[in-house]
Amino acid sequence: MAFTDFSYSALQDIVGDENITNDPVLCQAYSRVQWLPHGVMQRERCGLNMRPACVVMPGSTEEVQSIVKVANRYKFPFIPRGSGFTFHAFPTQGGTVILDPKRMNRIIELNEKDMYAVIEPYVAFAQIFAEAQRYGLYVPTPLAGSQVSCLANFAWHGAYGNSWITGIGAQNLLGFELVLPDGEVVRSGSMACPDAGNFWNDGPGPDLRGFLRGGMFGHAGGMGIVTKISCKLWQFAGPEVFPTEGNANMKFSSSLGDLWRWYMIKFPFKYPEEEEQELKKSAELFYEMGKAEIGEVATHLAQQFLLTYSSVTKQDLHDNMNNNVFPQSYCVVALAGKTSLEQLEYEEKVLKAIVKKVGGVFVEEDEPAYKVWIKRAANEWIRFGNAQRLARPSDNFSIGSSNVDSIDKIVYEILASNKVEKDALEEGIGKDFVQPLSIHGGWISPQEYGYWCLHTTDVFPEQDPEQCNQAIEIIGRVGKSQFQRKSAAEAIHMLGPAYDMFGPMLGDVHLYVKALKREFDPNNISNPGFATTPDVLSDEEYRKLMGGGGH
Amino acid sequence: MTEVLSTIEELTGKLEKVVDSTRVFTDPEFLEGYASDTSHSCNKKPDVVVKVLSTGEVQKIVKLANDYKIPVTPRSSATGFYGAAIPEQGGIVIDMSSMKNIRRIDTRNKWVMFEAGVTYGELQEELAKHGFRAINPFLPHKDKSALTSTLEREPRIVHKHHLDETILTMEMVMPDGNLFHTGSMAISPQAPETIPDELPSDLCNFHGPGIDWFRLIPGSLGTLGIVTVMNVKIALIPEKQKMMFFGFDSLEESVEPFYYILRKLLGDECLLLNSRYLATILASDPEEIDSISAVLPSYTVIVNLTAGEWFPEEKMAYQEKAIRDISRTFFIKPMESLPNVPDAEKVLARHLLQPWDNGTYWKFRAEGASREIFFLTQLQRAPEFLQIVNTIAAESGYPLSDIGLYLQPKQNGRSFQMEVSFPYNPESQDEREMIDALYREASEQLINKGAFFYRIYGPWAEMVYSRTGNLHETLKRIKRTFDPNSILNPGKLGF
Ligand SMILES: Cc1cc2nc3c(=O)[nH]c(=O)nc-3n(C[C@H](O)[C@H](O)[C@H](O)COP(=O)(O)OP(=O)(O)OC[C@H]3O[C@@H](n4cnc5c(N)ncnc54)[C@H](O)[C@@H]3O)c2cc1C
Repeated sequence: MAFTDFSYSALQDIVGDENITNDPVLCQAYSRVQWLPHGVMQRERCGLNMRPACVVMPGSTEEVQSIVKVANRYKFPFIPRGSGFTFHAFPTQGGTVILDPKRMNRIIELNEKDMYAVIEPYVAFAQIFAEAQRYGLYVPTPLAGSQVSCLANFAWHGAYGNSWITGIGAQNLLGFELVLPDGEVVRSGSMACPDAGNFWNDGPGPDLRGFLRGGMFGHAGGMGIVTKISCKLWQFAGPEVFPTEGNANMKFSSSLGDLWRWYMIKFPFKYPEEEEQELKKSAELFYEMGKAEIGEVATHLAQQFLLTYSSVTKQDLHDNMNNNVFPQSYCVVALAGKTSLEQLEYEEKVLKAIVKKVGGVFVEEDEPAYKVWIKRAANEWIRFGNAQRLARPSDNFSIGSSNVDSIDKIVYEILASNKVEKDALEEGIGKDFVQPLSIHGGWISPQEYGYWCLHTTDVFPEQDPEQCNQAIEIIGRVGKSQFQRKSAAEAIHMLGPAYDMFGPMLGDVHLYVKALKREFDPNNISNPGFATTPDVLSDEEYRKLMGGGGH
Repeated sequence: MTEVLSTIEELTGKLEKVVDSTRVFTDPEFLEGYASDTSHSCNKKPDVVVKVLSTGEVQKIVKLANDYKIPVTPRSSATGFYGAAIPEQGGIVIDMSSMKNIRRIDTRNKWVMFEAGVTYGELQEELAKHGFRAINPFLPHKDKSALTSTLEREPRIVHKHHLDETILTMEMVMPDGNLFHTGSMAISPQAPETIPDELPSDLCNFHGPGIDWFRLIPGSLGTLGIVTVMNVKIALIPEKQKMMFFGFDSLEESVEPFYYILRKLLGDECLLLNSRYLATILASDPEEIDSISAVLPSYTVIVNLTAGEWFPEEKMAYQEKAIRDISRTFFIKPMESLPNVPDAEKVLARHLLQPWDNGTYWKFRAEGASREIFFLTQLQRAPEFLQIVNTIAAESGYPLSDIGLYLQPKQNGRSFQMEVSFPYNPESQDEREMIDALYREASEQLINKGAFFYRIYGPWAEMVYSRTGNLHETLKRIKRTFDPNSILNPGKLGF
């Protein structure tokens, strides 16, 4: 594998001088991975090898295709990039080419009647959200922030604030156009059929979305480059323009109009000592709401989440912690009048009855928690216009545990993995992290009226290799404990070396996915290592990769 | 090197080592029952039929088939449709219709787990005891397997978004004979027959392991794996329901109001039938179909408003008000019953949940058989496609008044399955030929104009895949990767 002058000039011919660079300063900027501890460790491990050999900006599917064909001729690795928010979008070896999609930034179609949009890779959530809103529609948005690529998110991942209705990324992707690692183009869904329109997701025949992506992760750029997707839009009961006041960090959004109402619900338990009871009652609330099929947002936010997402500066975060603004975890619910005001009133009545039944209490408007969350932050929960908040405590953040199963099992999982994290802390692992933010609670995100559920708990190491290593140690311990508990998490957390770790226990799934990688990426150049390596890893390779290629 | 089996006896000998010999069938008359189906679209007898009772048996047969490169076609329904389970290249048919266990109902997490041979009738009966219902297609055949109906992605009558994809986890046998579980069922590699007891998961995660098998496998007509067990989402039976009807003289007129009803999230079930299809269902005797059809509106939108446990009257009230508001906006009149057809709303209410149980399957009532064409479209394009169908039918001399039309919204109206049916007399050679030609011509023209044929049966594979660029080749590469010996249902989907 090599990237040579011949490779460079071939790419130059495809995109033109102005759309390619190997300037070390510019390329260095494309190697700046942070945010996640794995990324920090990747930086430590790979050093200058993280600097791409060149960055190329294709302007069309045809150009992407030509680039991939050149990559196959000269056998150099390439990585498709959205906005580069995750470490999987960064090189781990020298001679890698990054495809920056900045020129492919069009909303190709927005269909109001049939509620979908067709977009290119560089369309950010913010762009599509604002556009859809004008038609009474919206998209779910990841906590990563609405500045990230909507296409990259829907094609590889996707956990959202309002999954109660929308599900995760997998449920929002409709059709797609993919340049396979060998340069062939394939289209899936109704997009595949000339003149059929872009409205539908599966077929003709088997649903290729199943080939493109999985529950939590797709191939992470390891199965070619998605050049176009159609995605769902959803009925939105809010206004045509997102109402905001103020500037920059101090920008707040107070009301989404008459057809949108937020509620904060708490349960009278001591926190964190009686966390288990609190989580179980929250689960009850969600099960009841699911049975009644009411609500637009339904989520349980841990103390750490509320503090992190509501804080506008580090000082604000620490003030809120010191003032105990969020003495516990809360459930946050939004009701939306998508049929009518009468429907909203009806749902409010049902919600009140359910909260009473499960022993919850509505947080009053004059309580500090309500003032800080509902008044300042809640609306951002559906569009995430302020992604830095995620890393407010430490300029870094990582999922400590995560799982997908029933709401009940998610509660069990949070408690079990929090215990593993607390035990680690007792050994001193993570003792210097911003504490106690990283230990209690969890984000419970019931999906599709609670038929299934996702959770994460977070840890907040500083961007320091020592702390990041400890974070990875914690994640590893949680992973191991999930495995011992036979938690459902294993089925979803497959990426990189995790395929080799879990595959043998999961019907040898790694062998099937590796066979697909060999078939479609015979030169192993599409983000090598993802979704998995073409061949089963040796022990040594596995150890090397576990230093920071997995999740 | 592959050993060769030269006689059927050798094959049955091997099969009888893995399955009780009383369930291995080679009698030509018996095999005849597997050679064709209600579509009358192809005719090919298997060499042997094996009635299996467990996933383990399926696994052993598929391994054996790989050893000797013998085709295997899975079949779960006692009746076949659209030729999907006809063994085009002979070999073994694995008949799973005797796998009848409903393994578990989880009322808290709202799912049911059942085996391949369970029908909707059996499922609904069991679920009703717990206050639940399966998310069924509209009036399925009583012998249709609920598992294959789900895998074939028959559109569900409930159009709600979160019930569009109902599969949670699956137990399946891969083309190489490997036992495989999808979603969170994958985490506990137990003997297949002991699943799901004592599982640490509630089997609610349908994603993974790794890639999304719950999407790749459906629609593959048994070419990528044999699913033996699945759990799927179910829903509560409503406490209250009320059917509302809107009549239209033309399909065009129905488009805007129909969109609007769905945009406002009204009705668990919502569908449009033309007078012919509706009469076929409502007639207590097939003789009455013509006369009932004559008094019905040309097109009827049926909306079933429901309410559950909490303040059901109030829920019904806001929905009815919304319906009245919509009626005023579009100058249409909501009806609580169908004019001239007493008790139609009661008959239909019962039919929403049940397979057809009134003798001959409803689609075959008029003439003895029917050929259907179905595809997805945006509602706004439905009139254009109906026009194409009508033109070709007229040119073929097929009476337009006999054509059935059914529009089923999916995902709150993002898309609609449009089904047109041509009832015909299967005994008449002339009619069969005419219908064959009409079916091909209409399919071709519809596909040419952008009707999205997403469920691919028989000749549609060639018609569709010849227009979809590299898609077919990509699917064939996936098929080759998983099934290098081309064992599973060869010939289907152009594989
Ligand atoms: C602090 C933080 C919080 C996060 N929170 C969330 C969250 O709440 N929900 C969530 O869903 N995710 C979250 N993420 C993960 C991730 O950042 C998001 O999924 C984000 O949407 C990725 O978009 P991006 O544009 O930055 O993609 P990138 O990071 O550029 O790419 C993501 C992956 O997709 C591949 N890729 C990019 N473009 C293409 C393409 N055109 N074709 C094929 N492959 C492609 C890349 O190679 C890479 O492997 C979070 C990440 C961080 C660091």
